[in-house]
Amino acid sequence: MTTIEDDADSLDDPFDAWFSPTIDHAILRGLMRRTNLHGMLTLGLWLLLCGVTLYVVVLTRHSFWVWPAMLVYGGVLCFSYAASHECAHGTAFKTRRLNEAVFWFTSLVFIEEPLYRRYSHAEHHTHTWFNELDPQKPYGNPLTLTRYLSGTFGPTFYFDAARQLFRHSTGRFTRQELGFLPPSEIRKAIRNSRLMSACYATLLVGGIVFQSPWPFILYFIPRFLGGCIVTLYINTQHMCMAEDLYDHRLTTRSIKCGWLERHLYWNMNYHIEHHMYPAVPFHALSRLNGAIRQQLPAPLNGVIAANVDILKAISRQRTEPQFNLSRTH
Amino acid sequence: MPAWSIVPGGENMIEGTMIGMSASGKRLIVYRTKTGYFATDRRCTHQGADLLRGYFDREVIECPVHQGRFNVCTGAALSPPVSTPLAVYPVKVVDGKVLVEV
Repeated sequence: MTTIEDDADSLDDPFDAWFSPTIDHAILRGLMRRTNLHGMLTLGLWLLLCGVTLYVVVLTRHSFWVWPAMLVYGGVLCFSYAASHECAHGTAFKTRRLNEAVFWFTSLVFIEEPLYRRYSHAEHHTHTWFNELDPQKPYGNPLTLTRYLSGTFGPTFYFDAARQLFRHSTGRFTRQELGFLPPSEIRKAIRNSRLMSACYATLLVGGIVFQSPWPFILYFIPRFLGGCIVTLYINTQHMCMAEDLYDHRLTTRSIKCGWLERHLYWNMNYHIEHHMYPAVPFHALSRLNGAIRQQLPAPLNGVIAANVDILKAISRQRTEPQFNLSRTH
Repeated sequence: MPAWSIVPGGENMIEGTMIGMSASGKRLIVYRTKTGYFATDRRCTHQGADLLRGYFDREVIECPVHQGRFNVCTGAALSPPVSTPLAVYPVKVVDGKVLVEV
């Protein structure tokens, strides 16, 4: 017997366990449409801001003001995270080669091996904020103030990224990593990690051998200083939310952002929407939000408000370890 | 033993569209591309997501959950996180009717 089916017919899809809002499938298909224009404009704005803030770093390099200038430049530079993330989904550009080229460049800037990132991030979408299963869940409830401060403002990311790159360069993977990296991809991940390590080592050794401050002024110090800015945004995605639930409304957080922030962050402030429909590209997330916002919790009013909320939750978790900030309205 | 089944509504499909169907106990997707009709399994080979909810553009179907991509003409896995190809089924058009062999 032959029957016609549509995408609402059950396939015993393992992802049907997740809460899913009501949305017209034709509208959803339209939102998935890819373009090159939006990605180019967003990438262009980021590159322009990198150029302008870098120019200020160069102008102030002999004064005290070079430090705040490097913080701002580094903050902009570290939003390569957002570009790299969108490219990991393959949704940044319609042209695949362009997507992959930008993916490599922005991952190199942010210090994340792209192939591993793609697999680990796919696993993050499969097991969003599940303990032991989500490889991109570095903390859980209860969270401590020390962990929040070291993860946001400390060198944790640098050390973790360097350690992971070194481990992968030497062909060592954890049991969890081997669970989602197919054997056929491990050699490529090792090669990529070695290639990236060689790039950073060349910059570092070149700066020391030629006694040049430029690799440090242009990359290492700003990357270190500015990391905290994008981390404040990353904190808002899942920190202190509910865990181990098949409901992105409870495990994930969306926030309101201004125009410039949204463009630097490639609209990842619509984070619940992104997790519900990861095939919808960044530029259509505001339209997706318009279609389903009645079914989602109201977004918090900005990155500072979300981090203040997190700090309050951390304080409360000292006496109520399972307290979290999940809401359904 | 594989048998030819009629694709319901197949003759009305326009380029760039896909429909889901069930035949001989298998769940399939039939695609209409610029070069003709093609059919693949409906379930992604990575973690079993429903490809009918995915993004179909030209000759590529993309998983809605992890964005792994397959060529619908050959079933080839095109980009991570998919590495296992998708099963494909022969399709033919006879007297205006679209048939798939399952």
